[in-house]
Amino acid sequence: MLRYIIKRVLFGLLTLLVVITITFFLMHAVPGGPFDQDTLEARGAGWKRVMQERFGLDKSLSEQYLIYLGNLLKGELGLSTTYYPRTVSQIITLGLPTSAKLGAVAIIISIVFGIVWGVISGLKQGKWQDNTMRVLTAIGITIPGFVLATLLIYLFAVRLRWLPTMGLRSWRHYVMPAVALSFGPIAYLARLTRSSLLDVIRQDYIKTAKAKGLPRSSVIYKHALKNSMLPIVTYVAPLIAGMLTGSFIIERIFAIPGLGREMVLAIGNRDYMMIMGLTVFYSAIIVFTFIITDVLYAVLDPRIKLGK
Amino acid sequence: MREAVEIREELFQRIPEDEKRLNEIVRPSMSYWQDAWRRLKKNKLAMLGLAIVIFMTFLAVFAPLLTPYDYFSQNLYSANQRPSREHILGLDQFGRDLLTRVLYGARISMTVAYASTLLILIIGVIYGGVAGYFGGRVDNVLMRIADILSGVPGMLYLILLMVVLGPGLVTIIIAMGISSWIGMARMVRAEVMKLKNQEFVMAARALGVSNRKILTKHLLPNSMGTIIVNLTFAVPGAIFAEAFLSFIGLGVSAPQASWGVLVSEAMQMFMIFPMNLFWPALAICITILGFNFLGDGLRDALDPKMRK
Repeated sequence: MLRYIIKRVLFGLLTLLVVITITFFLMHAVPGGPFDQDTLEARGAGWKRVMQERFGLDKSLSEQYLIYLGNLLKGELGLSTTYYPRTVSQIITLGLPTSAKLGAVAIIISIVFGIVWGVISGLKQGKWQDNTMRVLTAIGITIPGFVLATLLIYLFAVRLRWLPTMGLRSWRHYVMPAVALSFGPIAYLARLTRSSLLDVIRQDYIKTAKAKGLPRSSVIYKHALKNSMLPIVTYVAPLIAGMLTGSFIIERIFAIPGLGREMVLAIGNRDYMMIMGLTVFYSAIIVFTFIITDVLYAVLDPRIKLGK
Repeated sequence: MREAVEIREELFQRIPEDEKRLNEIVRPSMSYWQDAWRRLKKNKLAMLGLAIVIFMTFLAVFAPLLTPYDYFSQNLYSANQRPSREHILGLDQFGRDLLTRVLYGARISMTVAYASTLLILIIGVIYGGVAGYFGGRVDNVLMRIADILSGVPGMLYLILLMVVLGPGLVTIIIAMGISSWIGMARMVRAEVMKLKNQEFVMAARALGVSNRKILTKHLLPNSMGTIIVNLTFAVPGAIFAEAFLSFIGLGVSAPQASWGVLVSEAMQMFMIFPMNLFWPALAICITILGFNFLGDGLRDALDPKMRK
């Protein structure tokens, strides 16, 4: 087990290194990027000195790469041109709690509703509950988040005036962005749970459990549900990744001062070091969640042989 | 000694006509594709999906013939006009005919979707085909690279590529192609590995057919079913991704407008003119729904296990 975890972590770190390397060299390829000599001249002597001191811009490309890696180890992700002299790390510390709160709410909503809905429609296969679910999931997978968000705003903020549209100050502010963020994942999770449950119900050990004369409820809860939850664990990492990129749009629409909005703003302002720093940061989170889900999956499923 | 049997006329009997027919082949023999098409035709949702896909592609191809207006001439005096007989969907904030914009938007969105899917297909088939067919060390190296790259968050990578390449139709297609081919490559590899040990491939190899010919004439045509299903699901993914990119300001450059661009333009004024947002959003949703229905149907129709 320990060997598997170590292997998985090393593999994750390698992935992260690849991400960082790609990001670094892509950013060096941008004309007018943060490391371009012309940009340095245009931003004045002060900026140039800072960049040379912190990122070794007067040195060769390979040295710059090593310095960049060293900076990352120290937790320094770069400098924002828009918010200068604030660093990217400072902006992340400011924006992350907001994004994390919204993301956590949306993830909980997605998991609870997605699984409950999937289980109901799996158990009532072919009945009206199932059919409603299938229509709604088709819609959920079809409607892009920003369309749903605007629809919600139009209905609940403009027409009915029930909910506020901007910011994230009270629980009422959470309702629309959280729903908009979790609608797609709910649909996907419900579909996944349903097919997984139907798959498990056809297995031999369920027949055995029934043949032993166990009551229906204990067959379902103890045997079927527990085992059908396995594939769902693997969806958690992509779910978190989806929440992060989904929040780019949702945070912009609802003017929520989180990381996603900073990313979109940075793209708009061509604040390259900010884009670069946020990309590395997001990738680190995603790679980390991938490691955790893989390990979790291995722990939960005794059939998986570890380390070969 | 045996007695000679006298062969007489009475020993013979005419087979009645209906008994003869028992040996006749009544049903026409069906190829894999005919059978798949027959099953697809029975699936109403899939046929609806197919109709939507054909209709949208038709709109995209013949957009200039379907409208008397162009998509770029601005006329600020008639901005935001309500729908009228001349302009069925009204005019946008720059006085451009909205129906025309949506039709031309179909052109851009569909071009991006089809072209990037084609690119994914080409890269995926070559990469996965080579890895699966040659196996061993080649496969190991190629698949480890794919593993590492698949840990890189696709959306972030796509954003980064767009930032570097700059907005535009061609750059979007390239960026989407090189950020999402891994799934296709994995799938082609699995198919090729499954097929390459079957007798017909062995026979071809025994006859001295070259590697390239075995790949292109035997292995790929036989994996076509799975590939097509995957492509059908890749197209809505590309439409989604394109809309997402447009929304964060990395879409095609003005005055060209995809559906995503139209939506994000209309977003700024949707409290006053919600219909400007509604039509392009509806177009996106219907198209994605169509491709999803078709993909689901194709998956059922092309599955060899379902063949009766």
